[in-house]
Amino acid sequence: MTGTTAMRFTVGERRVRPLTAAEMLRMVELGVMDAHEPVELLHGMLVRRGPKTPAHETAKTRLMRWLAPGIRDERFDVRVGSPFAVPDPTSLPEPDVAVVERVEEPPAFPTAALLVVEIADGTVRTDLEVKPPLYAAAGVPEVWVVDVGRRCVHVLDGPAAEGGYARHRVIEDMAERLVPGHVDGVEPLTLGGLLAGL
Amino acid sequence: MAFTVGEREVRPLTADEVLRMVELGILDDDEPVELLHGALVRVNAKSPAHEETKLFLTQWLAENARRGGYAVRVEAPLLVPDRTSLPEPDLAVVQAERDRSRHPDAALLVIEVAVSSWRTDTRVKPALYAAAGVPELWVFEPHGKRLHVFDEPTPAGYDRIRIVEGHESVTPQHVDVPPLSLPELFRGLQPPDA
Repeated sequence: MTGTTAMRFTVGERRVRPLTAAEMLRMVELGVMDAHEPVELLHGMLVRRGPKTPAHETAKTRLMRWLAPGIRDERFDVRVGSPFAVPDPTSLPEPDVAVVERVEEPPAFPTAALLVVEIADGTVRTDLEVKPPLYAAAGVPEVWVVDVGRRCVHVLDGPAAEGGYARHRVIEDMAERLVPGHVDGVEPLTLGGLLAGL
Repeated sequence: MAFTVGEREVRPLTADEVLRMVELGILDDDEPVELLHGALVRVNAKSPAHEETKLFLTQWLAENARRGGYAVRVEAPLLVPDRTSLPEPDLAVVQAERDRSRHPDAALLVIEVAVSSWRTDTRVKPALYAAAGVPELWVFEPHGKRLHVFDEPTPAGYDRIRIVEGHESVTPQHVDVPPLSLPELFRGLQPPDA
């Protein structure tokens, strides 16, 4: 993958050689790295995951509970904190919640999704600027970034193969209903319902 | 030196992990990278000036190695206290008598030839060598026809840097070897656009 989605790092004037997802998976498989280590591969770097705050976990659980019963179509699943295989071979993001195309045989990470949701609890730039271009390149039609601290949801849609999403709007009205553009059959959930008590 | 992606910290790779990756075939041991501050950093393509300088220095050192009781390692890993780095200096002069079952963790002299990696060689790597107690670091600048001598190591870096101009000779402080004539070393080396 080339283009605007690739972040480059340097040490002095020398380029960093990115790790690939395949290498990271081999490291875990062969015990070089602990499978439970809280990192995800973004642009060739192992990036530490933010702390799992109670607000983060509660928002994630609400989203899962809300989305799962609506997914009656056998072709899709709701996955939580699970790797999503994007075209960039040096990234393997793990969205907080994703409605993905079902993959069972052979087991593989999904490569297509109807909706990806990231819950930003102090990591808004990573969730809003770094990860969405990776999802856009995978053709994910819609990304939500829930900003618990600022009590809003960023809705990104219109993916471009390079360069992220064409549209970005912010839902701040607690009474506004969150409606996924590409997932049918989910009951209404308001922003206030998602963030109640958080 | 720490990298971030957005506001999140990068989890550095360690030297042990990289050595395991090579051992297990996850990384090719011929791949031109070295571990600096937790990142695999590409080694630049080698210019004629870089290789000629390195060759001249290797021969100068090797001729006296047996008598001087030292060994010369070329582009080989040096263990440093920072476990997220495993620098591979262009040349390292180490004691002949040492534990050969592992990479050395000490050197009498480290030499880097800076052609296209000036900032990495003078701002990133010296602190790693100083922390390892390497008493003297030479960074050659073949296109500028100069040598930068770093000495007086502390855990944070070298306290003294001096420049030796291209018409002079120079002798390492801790290696028993005849003086090196810089005019001979630099003769015929031209910048790529000259």
